[in-house]
Order: sequence, then C-alpha cells, then structure tokens
Amino acid sequence: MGPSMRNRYFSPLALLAPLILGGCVAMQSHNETATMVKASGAAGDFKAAIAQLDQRNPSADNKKELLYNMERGELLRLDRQYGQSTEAFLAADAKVTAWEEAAKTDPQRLLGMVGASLISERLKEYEGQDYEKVWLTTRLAMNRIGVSDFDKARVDVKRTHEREAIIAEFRSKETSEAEAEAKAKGAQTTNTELNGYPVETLNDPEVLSLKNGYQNALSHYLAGFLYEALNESGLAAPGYRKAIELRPGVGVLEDGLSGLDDRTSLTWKRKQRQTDVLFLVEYGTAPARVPKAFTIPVPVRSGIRTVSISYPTIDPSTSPQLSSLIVGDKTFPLGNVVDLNLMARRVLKDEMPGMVLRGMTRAIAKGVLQDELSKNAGMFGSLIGSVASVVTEQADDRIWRMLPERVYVARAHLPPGEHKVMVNGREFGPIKIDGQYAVVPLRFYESVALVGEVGSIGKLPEQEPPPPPAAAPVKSKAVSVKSTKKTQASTKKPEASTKSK
Amino acid sequence: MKLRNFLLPLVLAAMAGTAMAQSGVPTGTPAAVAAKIQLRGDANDIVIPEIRIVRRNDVMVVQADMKSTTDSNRTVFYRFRWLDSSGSQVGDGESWKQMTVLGHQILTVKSVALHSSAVDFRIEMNVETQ
Amino acid sequence: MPKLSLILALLASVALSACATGVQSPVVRFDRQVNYGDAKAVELVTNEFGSSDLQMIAEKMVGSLLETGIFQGRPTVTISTVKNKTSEYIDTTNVMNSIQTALVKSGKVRFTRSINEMQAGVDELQRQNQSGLYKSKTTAKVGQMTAAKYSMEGELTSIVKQNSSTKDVFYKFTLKLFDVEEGTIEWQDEKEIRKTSKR
Repeated sequence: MGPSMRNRYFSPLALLAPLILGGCVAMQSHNETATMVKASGAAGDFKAAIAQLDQRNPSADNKKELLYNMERGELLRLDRQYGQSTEAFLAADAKVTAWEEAAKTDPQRLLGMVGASLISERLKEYEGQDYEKVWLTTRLAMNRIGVSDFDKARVDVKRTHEREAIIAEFRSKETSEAEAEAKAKGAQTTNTELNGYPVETLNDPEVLSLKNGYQNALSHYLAGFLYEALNESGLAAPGYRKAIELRPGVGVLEDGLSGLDDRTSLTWKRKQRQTDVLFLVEYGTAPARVPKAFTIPVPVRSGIRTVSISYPTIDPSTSPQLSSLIVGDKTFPLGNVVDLNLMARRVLKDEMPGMVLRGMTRAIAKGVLQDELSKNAGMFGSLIGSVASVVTEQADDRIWRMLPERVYVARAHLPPGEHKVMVNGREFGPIKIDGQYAVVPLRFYESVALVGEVGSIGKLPEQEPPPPPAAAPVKSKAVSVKSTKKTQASTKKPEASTKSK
Repeated sequence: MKLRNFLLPLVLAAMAGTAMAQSGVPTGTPAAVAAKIQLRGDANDIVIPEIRIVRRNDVMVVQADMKSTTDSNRTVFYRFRWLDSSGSQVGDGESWKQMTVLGHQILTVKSVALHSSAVDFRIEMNVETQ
Repeated sequence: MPKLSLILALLASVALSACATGVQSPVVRFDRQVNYGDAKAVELVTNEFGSSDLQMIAEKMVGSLLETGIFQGRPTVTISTVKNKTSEYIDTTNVMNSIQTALVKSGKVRFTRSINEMQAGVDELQRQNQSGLYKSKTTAKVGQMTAAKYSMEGELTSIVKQNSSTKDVFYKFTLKLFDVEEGTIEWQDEKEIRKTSKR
C-alpha cells in the first residue's frame, strides 16, 4: 500500500475519509504545520508565524496542548515578547509537571499508555520528548534572565536538575520493565529490524556517544553561570562539571570549571573592570521527524497481505558548524554544547525497538481487518479498509521544531558599553553590555540574525575612587589611608571586606 | 562565658556483673546502662555492654558499644538525646542514624553534646532484622 | 406515627455520630495524603546527597570542634569557602549554615560576617553614615568591625561507582579551621558517608 496507491484511491473516497477519521485534528501532521510556520517567519515576521500556528490549532483544546504552547512560546521569544513567551512556556510546563507527577507516583500508568496506540501513534497524547522537557525549564530560565528576574531563573534552573532526575528514574524503570516483558515473551527484539529503514542515521557514532537522550550541556553550563553570578560557587561547580561530562573536550566548558575559583575570589572581583559575558549562539531550527512508509508482509487467514506501516525518520544535519565569535579585534572560540539533531536521533533510536514492536502489532491488526472486509464487503469494503489503514497509518511526527538545532557558547571579558559581534560573517547589531555578568542570546533563524534581550547581573566595582565622604568622621579617613597603602582599594566597600578577612 | 578546661570522667558504666536486664533489653546489658537506653520494640540480639561518659572541655562526650550476639546482620537506628539538670531536652534532638551491625560485631557509636548545659542523656534506638 | 419517625431520626443521628470514631486531628485535608514527617528521620529515598547526610555532617563537625576545646575565650570565626567537588547540585553553604547554627547556639564562639554576607553589612554602614538621616551619636562607626581569628574552609567530594544493578556513592566532607594570622591549621576533621542502592 504505497503512496501511489493512496493518490489513486484517495479522491473518490475523500468523502469517506472524514468519517473514518472522525474529524480528528490529532491526526494532523505537525511536520506540515511547522513547515508552514517556518515559512511565515522566515524573514523575521514572527507575528505572522504565530498567526499561522494559531490557524492550524483553532480550537480552545488545541491551544492547551503541550506542543502548541512550546512552539508558541519559542516564537514569542524570537519576537522578544518575553512575558507572553514565559506564559506559553508555563502552560506547557504545567503539562510536563503533570507527567512528572505521574512518573513519580504512578509510572505504571505511563508505561501502559505505550500500548494504547493500535490505530496510530499520533492519537497518543503528546507528552514531549525527554530533552524537550528539560529544554522547557531551561528556556524559562533564559526568559527570566532576559527580563532580569534572577530569583525565578534560579528556581527554573533548580527545577531542571530535578526534572532530569525524574526522567532518569522513569526511563530506568521503563527499560527494566521492557526487558522483563521481552524476557516473558521470549525476546523478539533482534528480529524486528526494518527493511529499508535508514538505520545508519541512528547508529551514527556521534549519536551513540551521547550519554542519554535528555541531558544537555547547555542547561548545566547555564546553571553554573547563573549560580556563579549569584555568588554560589558551591553550586556553580557541579553545573560546569556536568556540562563537561556531557560534552567532553569542549574548551569553553573546561575553562568554565578551571577558572571558577579565580573568578569568584574577592581579590579578582575587586580588580575586575570588565563584564563577564556569556554568548549563547543558537543556530537553525530543530530537526523534523519525517514519516516514511514501509511495507510489511502480514500473515492473515487467506494468506499473506502486505500492510503499510509508517515510521518516523530524522535526517542528519548538513549545515556548517560555527567556529568562532568576533568582538572588535578579539576572537573567541565557540563551543558546541547542544546538538538537537543528535539528541532527537538518540531519542528516536532509544524508542525505536518499542515503536517497531507496536507497528508490527498494528500491521497485523490492520491486515486482518482488511482481509475480513474484502471477504465480507467485497471490493468496496476492502477499499475502505485500505484507505482507513493508509490514512491512519502516519508515523508520529510531533517534535518541538522552533528550538535551535545547535547551541554554541562563548565566554568573554568585555568592557561595558556597546559592541558589535560577528559570527561566521554575520553581524549582530550593536549589543549593549553592562554589569558584572551578562548573558547575550544570539540566534540564526532561517535568513535572519537575531539578538535577544541581554540579561545583566550584578554591578562592576566603581572605576574611580570617589572623594572621601564629607560626613565621614576623622577615624574613617585614617582607615582609608591605611587600606589604600596596603591594597589600593578604591571604595568603601572593599575596605570593610579587607577588615573582615 | 568562662571556659573550664578540665577532664571529668563521670561514670564508667560497666558495673560488674549486674545482669539485671530491663524489659526489652536482653541479658548482657548492665542495668546502669539499660537505664540510659530507650529501646523501641525488640533488641533483636543487640546488647550494649558498656557506655563511657566523659566531660571534656565543658561538653559531655558519650560512647556506647553495640554488640551483636547473633550470626546474622542487624540494622540499628539510633540517636542521642541530651538532657539538662532538670531533665529537659537540650536542643532540637539529633538526626536519626542508620547503622549495620554484622554478626558478632561490636561497633562504637559516639556523640558530643552541643551545649554545656547537657548533663545527662538517653539513647533512643530500635533494631531491625535484615 | 410522627413519634416513630422522630425516633428513627434520632436513631439515625446516633448511628451517624457513632461512625466517627475517636477524636479528629486539627488538620484540613484534600483527598491526597500529605503528612508532616520527622525532620530528623533517616532519609533513604535515593542515594543522592540528602537531608540526613547534611545533618550527620553538621553534628559530627560541631561535636568534634567543641570536644577539642579550641574555642577558649569565645574567639571570632568566619566562614570562608565550601567547595563542592561532586557533580551533584548540593548547596554546600547549607551544610555550613547548620554547623554555624549549632556552634552559635553552643555559645562558645562568635562568628563574623562571611565574605558573602559582607555586602549587606557594608550597605547598612553606608546607609547609617552617609545618608545623613541618623543622629551621629547612634550611627555605627566605620572601621570598628572585629576581624575573625579563625576562618573555616570546607570541601565536599564524592566517588560514585555504578553498574547495572548497584550504585555506590561515597561522600567525604572535610572541614579545616585556619588561624588567619599564622596561617596554620588549628583543627581539621572529616565525615565519611557511604550509600549503596540496589535495583
């Protein structure tokens, strides 16, 4: 039942299709939606893109869905509407929190849902890819940093760690469950490979080298940076350390940890006259899950029938890697910390065995149904059966598409003020940097280069020593003389600190 | 606050041979020791042959030996409670500790009162079989 | 007949009230069970760093410090750094807070502001001295803070070993007390914790 068959029979039976489908928006292809949304926003008109997304998700129920809110939140973020973006992310986050609750208290229920996809995988409620759940809180933290709400950003960062722990626990339970089930059924997982499936995209060494399909180095590096900026080096260290564990060999990440003690020392902070800037360079959009049909022979009563089964595929990325970031006459190396193409393929690889098994079950059920229909209702019945089978047999292509494909980080010390930044020959307009620490989000989206809101944390020590305050008594003057001799401290602030030391 | 620096061994509780066990505490735990133990449930073959009490640098330091009289392992949950001269509890109470005592092993647990007003103590404990 | 119904109603009310056995506790509850637990109970939910570890570390360190008698004459102490060398997000300042609380409560030592707490103190001094809002007699003088004789530095490390069925975590917390002027270590102790979980 290939695609050609579908074309030939689809038009006369178009009237029947809605009946079979029951007017289900759930069957709608997210790949198509995302392509349309991307086309609308390609030139940087994100309001049009959001309108397009809304048009594809018309009902009130659609607007409560996880995927809709994730996509919408990201589009709003691209449009620099941080408040609304955070709202959309929070709506999505409520769904993930519900999933977390279930994973913690009643994992059996979630594991049971896996089997409930006899008609199509798309009819399952979308619970989000694991890495998307982690991204959600990371994105929330980034939105908060953009509007200088660091306390809430810290909460979101902390939730990210807790979420990762829940996912890890749940997945390990799921794996042991699946192993037990496979054992009970006489283990068939090795024979379920698909003819013609691009297995090499899943067995790519880069995909296999990922520790798992949900942890990303960006979330942890960002956590490290935020904790460092908030003066909590005891928590910053594990953030940087985890980032290195997840993405070994990236210089920028290693410098984050090795320089931590120096950067957080009081002496260094007092001398520092430049802003510690974290550049987050995001490139492209997350990969698509493209459904691809495969035919499988299925034994039925009247012999063998071929049934079409659809599986998602993800093409490896072909876009060039970014290497460095230039500010003025200085060049800073960019470290690639997240590659969503790799992560998405890793997740797909991890869920493939289960998906193949479910597909087989579905194929057999559908083969039997077609067989029965052709016997009892003749040619016409067989046609309805085939069409229903083809239309419903669409692989689940839901995936958060507006996320960047890759994220790079660079860390630089820059004097406060306006800077022009160049990445791979593209210029990012004047960016105003200020404060002790700053986070600068940059994004290559289709053909546009976007600069997000810069979040600055803390204040640099004052440049010039202020004149001694007139109101201050003689005693304090004497102290200031002494301390200037010793440490060349400029303001009142460091004086007191010197005393305490 | 003045600080007295003296060593004052208060009681060496191993009173010879008085094997008058309190209810719940098996034979082998001397009565003087048993008075300091608040055992919940069965002792499950754990005995406390000796408790050493010393006042060091103005705070009370207590060590208790926990001895297994069986072949199998036991899990002991315990904590110290410190009491002042009026018998009131000093401070919030310690955290509970979990400890595995292997068969016929003797383990020593130790605690230091976190305030000089503590002059007496109790060991709250229960023993789980594994 | 009305009498009979009255009796029935009375009986019913008696029967109903009889259902509620014992006294009710002063709680408001929804259908999910939530309870307060013993804050000092041994926490064995996972083998990540948990509340019991924090409490045990603090107790051991404070006990050891008080026992040595190093705090003669209520010296001043400040908390320097607590390094977290594990890859877990453990708020190590929390451990130090517990240690500090117990030491302060023992009455044997005085703490000065730590580096992280300094800014707030400096801000208050500046407010009193530079805002011109206060009577000059009542303002705290600048340059009168007492410096710490000792500084306390801590470090938390972990060794994690894992295979498919067992996870073994070993934590070690080391605490050092430095004499600031002489730069010598006057006291040091460590607490080791092993936690093993099996699937």
